[in-house]
Amino acid sequence: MKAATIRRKFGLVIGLLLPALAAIVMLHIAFGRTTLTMEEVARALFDLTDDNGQRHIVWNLRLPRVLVAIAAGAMLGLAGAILQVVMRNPLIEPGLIGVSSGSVLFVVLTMLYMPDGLPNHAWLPLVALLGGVSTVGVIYLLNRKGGNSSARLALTGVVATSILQSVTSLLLLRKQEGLASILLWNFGSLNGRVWTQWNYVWPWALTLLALAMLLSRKASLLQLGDATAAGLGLAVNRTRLLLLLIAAALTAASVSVVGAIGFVGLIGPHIAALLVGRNPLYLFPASALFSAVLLTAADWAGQSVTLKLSLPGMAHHVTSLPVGAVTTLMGAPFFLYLLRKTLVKK
Amino acid sequence: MPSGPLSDATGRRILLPVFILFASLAALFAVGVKWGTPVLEWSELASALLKESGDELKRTVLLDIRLPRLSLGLMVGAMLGASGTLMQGAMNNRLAGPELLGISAGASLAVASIMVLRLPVPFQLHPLLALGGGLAGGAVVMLAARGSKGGTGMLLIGMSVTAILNGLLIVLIVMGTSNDVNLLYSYLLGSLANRSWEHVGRMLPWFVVMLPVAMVFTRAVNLLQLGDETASGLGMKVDRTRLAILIVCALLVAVTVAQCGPIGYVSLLAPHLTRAVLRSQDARLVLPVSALCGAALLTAADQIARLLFAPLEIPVGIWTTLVGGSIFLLFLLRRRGSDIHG
Repeated sequence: MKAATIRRKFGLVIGLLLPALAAIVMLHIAFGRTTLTMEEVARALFDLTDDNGQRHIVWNLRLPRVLVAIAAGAMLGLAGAILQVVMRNPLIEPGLIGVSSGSVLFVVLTMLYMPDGLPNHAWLPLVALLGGVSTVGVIYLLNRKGGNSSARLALTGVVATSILQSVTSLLLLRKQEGLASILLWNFGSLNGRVWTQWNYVWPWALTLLALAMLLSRKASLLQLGDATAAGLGLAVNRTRLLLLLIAAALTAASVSVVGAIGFVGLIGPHIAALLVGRNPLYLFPASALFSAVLLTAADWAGQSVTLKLSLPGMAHHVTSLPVGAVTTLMGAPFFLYLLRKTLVKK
Repeated sequence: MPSGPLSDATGRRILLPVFILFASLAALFAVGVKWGTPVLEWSELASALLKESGDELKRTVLLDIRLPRLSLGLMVGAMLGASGTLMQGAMNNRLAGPELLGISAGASLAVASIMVLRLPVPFQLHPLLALGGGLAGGAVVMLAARGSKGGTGMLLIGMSVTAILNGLLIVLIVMGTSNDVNLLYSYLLGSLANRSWEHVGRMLPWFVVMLPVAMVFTRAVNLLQLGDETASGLGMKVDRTRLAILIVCALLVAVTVAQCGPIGYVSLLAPHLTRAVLRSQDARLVLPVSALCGAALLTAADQIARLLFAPLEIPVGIWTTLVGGSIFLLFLLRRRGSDIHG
């Protein structure tokens, strides 16, 4: 494809995704235990309503949740895109190489055992980053001997994830945490996310998105192969390391607010690559935007199912479906499809 | 050689490991009946067993709580150890295990659906429904893995099918129950808590029938371990035999899942440890010793689950995943990348 064609396509994709995001945000805010009409949502959002109840629902409960969903989706999608580009491995996403579960473990450890150790929750992403980076580091180093092929890396990542998850479960059970907290950390959930979480996640999201975009041109050089990139004057190893660190930080920041939501960072980049091609300059923003739409839609779907479908015993249930379960149900079949494509080549 | 009579030398070689396993089982059994809340004195144990007059509460604890739990743990561990041997042998893949190939998760989802949705299914039929779920899960994995070479690909496919099934399980638990953490872990990772003689009674017939059935298939497993071409050259109907073995294996697993959930990594590790200690691949030796080994592993893990954070209980499946998963990971990392494609 010629550069101009790609640029036009990119413009078109963004032009379609932005209204889609706006639409899903409106739907998401409108839907819930009390369903609002679109007009009521718009009036409450622009502060034109006289109904204090509606204003409370929209401003204090649903808007922050949607914003956190957008931020987390965008960060996970971008992290996945970076990982897939830098490691040249289509089977990779933050949840599959141990970053998410390592981050979660460190966050849970900190929250349970040093509740007063941190000046405020804004430091949690740093703790999560430490956990994610050390997990991946260990897996990568241990794997080097056998060759870091894509399937192998994914397999060791999955096994490591289940071990780390069981440690997290152990800690949470030991402190007798409820179902909601266990689902949040091990599977990822947007339930009960409010302004507190938004307030400390958005600076991370914004900074890291900007950093990733700044590095996207260098990332596109990496795609030409190490030798060519070095020939063009790129410090290959430093760039790669920096990009990986950004991907880990994106994952860590999102994990510290919404837990280990899986598969968004896998689907997002793949679909985005289908739409705009593999040039990071376009792939990174498209993947972030698409994943934001995806996660928001998944959360909306999860809530709709919880409220519409009634199972026995439903009368007194308190938790609504964690979004991590929805993304797994969407993403795991997609992963299966990718696996088959990778494994059954000839 | 693997189908010939067992020589005296091999017979002697397994004596010591078997003796050690029995001894450790006895020790674990002693820990299991004595410690907990309350801790029983040896004399109290004796008097409770002999139905002499004694503390009624302590007698109930021993006879109705600890003994059934230990018996169930022994049977489940043994069946898991046997199923792992069959599966790894039949598929000629040392990384295979029911928890990695969608069988445990499928069985678990079937049983969880009955429990959570309160479907009117009698307890006697639970193992059969679990078998249906397990076979369905396993079949999806096999079909999806068709044409992929090497064990790693199949494991990854098995894990993504497991992820889908676990996603459905979470939907079920979250939407059908009121905030029940224990239910989630019973069907996600497996637990031996709160089991009574009723559970033991439901398990016992399967245990008595299925272990000898598994033993019958060990000769076929030995042939399959030589490779498909050799096995069919020796006159075996390879595909049909493998299918039969896998169904036996799935039944062993389904029965345990119906009572205790998908306790992971026991059936994967028991055969590995056994083969390493016996230095033998002969399934006729490995299977019974692996069953013993599985029983010991699970009983040991269950003592940790009961006692480490007492009175708080951590589901045994968490411990087996923690310890067994770590060993499995090391095992994976030590392998060369040779059989890994992609």
